Formats: sequence, C-alpha cells, structure tokens
Amino acid sequence: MIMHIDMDAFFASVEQRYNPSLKGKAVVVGGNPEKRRGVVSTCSYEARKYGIKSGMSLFQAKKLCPDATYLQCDGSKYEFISAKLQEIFSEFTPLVEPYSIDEVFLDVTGCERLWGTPVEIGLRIKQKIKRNLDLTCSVGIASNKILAEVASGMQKPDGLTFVPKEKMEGLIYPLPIQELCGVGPNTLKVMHKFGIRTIGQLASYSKEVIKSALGKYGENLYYSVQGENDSIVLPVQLQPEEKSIGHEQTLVEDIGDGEKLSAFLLFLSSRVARRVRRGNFLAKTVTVKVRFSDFFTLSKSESLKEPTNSEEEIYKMGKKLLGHLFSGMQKVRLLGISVSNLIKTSFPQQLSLPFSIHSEKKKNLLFAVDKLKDEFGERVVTWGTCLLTPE
Amino acid sequence: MNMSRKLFTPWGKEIESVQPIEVVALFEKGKMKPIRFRLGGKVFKIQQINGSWENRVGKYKKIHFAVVDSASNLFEISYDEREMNWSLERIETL
Repeated sequence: MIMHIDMDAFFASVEQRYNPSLKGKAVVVGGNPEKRRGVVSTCSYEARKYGIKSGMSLFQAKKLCPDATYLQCDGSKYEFISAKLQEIFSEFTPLVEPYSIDEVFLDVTGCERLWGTPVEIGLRIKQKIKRNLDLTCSVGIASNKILAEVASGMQKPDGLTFVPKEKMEGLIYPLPIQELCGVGPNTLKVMHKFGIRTIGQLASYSKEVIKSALGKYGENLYYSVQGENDSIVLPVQLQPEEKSIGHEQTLVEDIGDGEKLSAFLLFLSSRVARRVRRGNFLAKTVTVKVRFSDFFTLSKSESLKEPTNSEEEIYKMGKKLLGHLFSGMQKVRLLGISVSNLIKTSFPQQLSLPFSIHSEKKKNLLFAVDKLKDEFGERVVTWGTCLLTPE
Repeated sequence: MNMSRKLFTPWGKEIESVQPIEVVALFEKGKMKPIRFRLGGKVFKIQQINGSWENRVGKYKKIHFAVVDSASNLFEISYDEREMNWSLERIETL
C-alpha cells in the first residue's frame, strides 16, 4: 500500500511555526517582497481565500491582498524541517521517496504488524508531525503512487483519504483527468481529443489507443487508474543519477547591462560546476535561459568540444550563448544556466582528464577552491567578477 | 550600535545585514538555550523560544533561534559554531 504525504502550505506553515503571531493570518512566501519581485512559492490557506496562488507574481498577489504578511523564502528553515520530517517517516518504513521538499511517498506494505493498518499508520504519522513540529499534512493512501497523490489532494488541509481498490470507482473516477500527477496541458489536449475528461473515462478507454498516443507514460497512467501500476517507492540512495544540473534566479531588479549579466552568469556557472564536481560528473552540453521583462523566455544550448567540470569552461560557453539571446535591447528578469549530457567519472573530484583542457595549475586551483568551500562554506572564495560591491 | 555595513552583489542581492550580539545562554541536556542578549548597549530578555533550526556553512553548523522578548518583539539570532559568536539576523517588531 502506498502513501503520499503532502505538507499543507509548507513554507507558510513553517514561518507560522517560528512566528506564532502569524497563525490564522494571510502569509505569502516567495520572491523579494520589498521590491515586489518574483513569484509566490507558497501561501497560507488564509491568503488563498483572496485568490492568491503558488506561481502568481508578487505584484499580482499584493494587489489581491495588500495586508498579507509577505516573506522571503528561507531555504535553511524549510530544509531543516524537511529533514526532521524525513526522520519521522523513516521510523515507520524504510521505503521513503522524497518527491519534493514538502511531499513524500511511503510504501507501508508489510508494516501492519508493527504500526497497524495503513490508515492507522497515516494517523500516527500525522499525530507525530503535529506533536513534534506543530505542522499539518494531508495523507493519501492507495494501491499506487498516482492514485495516492490524487487521494492526498481530496481532503486538504489536514486530511486523510484512503482509497481501497473497491472504492476507486466512486471516489476517484468522477474527478477531472488533470487531477492526475503529470497531466499537463499537452497530455490534456491529447486526452480531450479522445473525449477523455474524467479519470473514469481514461480507465474505461482502450489501453492500446492510450499507449499509441502517449507512449510508455500513457500506458503507466492507464494501469495506474486501474489500480494496477506497481511503480516502486525508491529511497534516495536507490534513485538514478541526475540527468542535468542547473541554477536559475529571478534578479532583484531587471538588468540591461551586459557586464552585470555576465557577472551573474559566472556566479551561476560556479554553482553549477561545483555540483558537477561534487557528483563526480563531467558535462558536455550547456544551456542558457533568459526571461525578459515582458516574461518572454528564450533558451539556447550548445555542446562543448570536451566534457568538463570547470566553471570557466561552462561560463565561457554560457557567455557565448547569452550573446545570442541578449542583445541589450530589453532588460532581463531571470537568468539560468544548466548542463546536461552528464558523464560519471570514476574518481572523486576528477577533472577533465583524459581530455585535459586545463593546465595543472588550474586543476590544482579548482581543487583548492573546492576544499576551501567544503571547509568554510560557499562564500569563502569567489571570482573577482562576482566581488561584492557596497550599497 | 555596532551596525555591519549592508553589502550587495553586483546584481543587487543583499548578502549581509547581520549584527554581532552578546548572548547569555544555558547549556542543558545537550541543548543550547539563549536566555538574554545585548544589542547596542540594551539588554533583551528572551521570554520565549519559538523554535530553532540549523544550516551548514562548510563543515560547520550555524544554529538559528526564533525568540520573543518581553515586549513581544520577534528576533532571529544565530550561533556560528566555527566563529563561536552570536549574531542578530532579523528583527520583527510587533
């Protein structure tokens, strides 16, 4: 039996936990509230009453509810609480798959003799989270991940929904097809083409037609809504390697100055390269993404001649790509860089050997910088271009 | 008051606005509990600790506390394990 646990308004609830005077009030977390930049990451249920939603621009949110409390994301707080949650989940089953910072899948099959029925396990977990962390969550229990995810959304906040196979027809089948995890606008278009608007309609459709239209994903979806998908819950240590590594960030103010943008690109490249080296990868393809003031977004990719883990090489390619995307005509609101085509190296911290494009000195410098950052944190040393400037 | 200068990255992100503070703390059952702190000559008595959390800076820990004083002001103070010093990270006056 699979359980999906979704923390209720996670970032906002954590902020309320650390500042109880915010409890029961409209709290919006995300972006830079002072400059009204960025988007809403999460908001409390009180803020949702005003129509504020995740992903909405802060500017729009402030129009809807100017009196809400607007807070910047504090990642360290959320990561700390998320780690505490993982500890709680791991007490009940070793099969815990983090889906995001505030969502998790648990396989509780075979845990009944220790903890009771799946519903009892769900209730115990909810109680423990409330008692230890003063937070609430919504739990969905079903025969597979897709249905458990649908179930957790059925009684939010602070709900628990168990959907045994025999009750699927009554509980799940009437729901719109977009309630299924992963059904985005493109899949929805295909579904609508076949006249599929509810989960029940998908369940009674021909498997072959769904498979030919949506491939393996469609087939998985089809089996899931029959309650038959046996996709396993994968703990972190068993998960496959990442396929790409990237960082993107909305700028505090739109930037039209090429030099400043390049400096920011170097900063992002350094973060990307460090993760590449940490994972013992070499990267072959670089992608740059630019979002302009009017939200028009462009991206461009190009492969390097040799795979690398050096920020210098990633940045050089990134700067070339940025040159194609940014002409200086319009200001930039968001900048991102990512690398893909990752190759796993056999030795920790191995640099571009045997395809060496670095001098020995540069390699040693990167090693030294990594060591310093491991010891003293990411800010201990940086590129001159990224040097801080006084206000 | 010992104000640290505000610093910004070239793209305008504020990265440092913390102020050093002096803290009296109790160490009890393996846990650290700040009791009061001095900021700019004024002593603030901690009435309540709403919670704490940690993050890592390199291989060292930084422990943050959300605390409330007798005037119901909310402060975020932190203890840096490597530097062995305390800082005021944020103030919210109610």
